[in-house]
Amino acid sequence: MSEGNAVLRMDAVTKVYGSGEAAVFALDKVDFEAYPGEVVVVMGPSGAGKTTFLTIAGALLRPTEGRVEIAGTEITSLKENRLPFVRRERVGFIFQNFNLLEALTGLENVRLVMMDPDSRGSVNRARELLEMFGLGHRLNSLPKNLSGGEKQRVGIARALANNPDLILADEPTANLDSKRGQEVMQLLRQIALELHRTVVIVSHDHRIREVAHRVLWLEDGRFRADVITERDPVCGRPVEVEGARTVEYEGSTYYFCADQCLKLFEATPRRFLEAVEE
Amino acid sequence: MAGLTIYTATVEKAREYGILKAVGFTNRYLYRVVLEQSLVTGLIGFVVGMGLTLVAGPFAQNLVPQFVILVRWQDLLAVFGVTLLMALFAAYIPVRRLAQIDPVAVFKG
Ligand SMILES: Nc1ncnc2c1ncn2[C@@H]1O[C@H](COP(=O)(O)OP(=O)(O)OP(=O)(O)O)[C@@H](O)[C@H]1O
Ligand SMILES: [Mg+2]
Repeated sequence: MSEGNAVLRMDAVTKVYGSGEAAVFALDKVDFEAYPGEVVVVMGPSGAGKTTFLTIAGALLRPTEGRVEIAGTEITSLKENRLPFVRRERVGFIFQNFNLLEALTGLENVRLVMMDPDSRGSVNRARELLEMFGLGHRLNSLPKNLSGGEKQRVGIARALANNPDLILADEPTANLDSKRGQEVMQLLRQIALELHRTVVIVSHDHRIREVAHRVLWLEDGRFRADVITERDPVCGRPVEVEGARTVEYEGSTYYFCADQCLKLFEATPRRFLEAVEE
Repeated sequence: MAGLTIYTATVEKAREYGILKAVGFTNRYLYRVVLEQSLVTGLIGFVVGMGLTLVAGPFAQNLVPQFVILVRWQDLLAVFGVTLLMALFAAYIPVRRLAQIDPVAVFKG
């Protein structure tokens, strides 16, 4: 579907909690792939298995069956004591309730997870990340003195601290008002597009769909297959057909991830169609 | 690790250990932090205690002549040993609790 190697790949992943009569199939033979530069949103009702999916994707929870690959490393065959290293180096987590350490400043929260937190390089990088997210004036503030939106931006900076390939977010906007939520969503999209990272978000917040290149529906531990996606001819990303911006051109319908792409297409459609044909 | 050291002085919080595990700190690393913290606290206590004894000892002896204070190096060593043992013991309980913390729990509301 998409070019390049998947940063996250799941093959027939099943997770069963409990056993016998009480067994719950939280995930049931789930297949999934996500690529650099894309934002994938997994939606579904409460209890659908979203958090289970995300924690398995992030090497925090082992599946009962199936394979999980992060950035080319099969983590399901790794020993338990290797998994923290995968999480620290390859995965950035963003949480619903931010999960900052209350006794540390914003800058320290970001530095903390780095491999060499006291080096000048780390301090500079942490500062740059926070500045990039508009927190240059809040570097030394404790979380209790930050607003929800600011806390989440510190959380995002921390997630990027070690340059991970994969960013996983669990309900990142649930504790934010709609304006702050919007800002956080745009940031996540920017991270995918400009830093070329893979961003996977689980949420039941419909507003999140706006930043998604792809939306998947999880229900009772399975992805519903009836969500159709098409490729955006301008940026090449998969777009969910339902609700997408469209253009009719020479008898075909084209789907776009954003107005920007649509406008570019309308200006010179041929240019993009030839690129697609290649 | 200045930040982490300051921070662990206030740690009694399972959730924050859970966060550290979730973002990729190993159990082993966290055990070491707890142990170091406990030893440092023990050593500070030892040094302060000994300092006080040496400074306040002569005064006490002047006040109450029957109260003989004699610090021998063997005593110092014994107290030091006991301090270390207590520090290790003090770290044992949090280390055991640490092992049981499930990082997945930090994803729950
Ligand atoms: N540790 C556990 N032990 C037993 N059952 C569990 C455990 N964790 C989750 N479950 C069950 O697995 C199913 C999926 O749970 P999960 O937390 O992944 O859902 P979710 O989609 O994240 O829900 P929510 O939107 O409420 O966060 C639910 O039926 C849940 O009750
Ligand atoms: Mg959940």
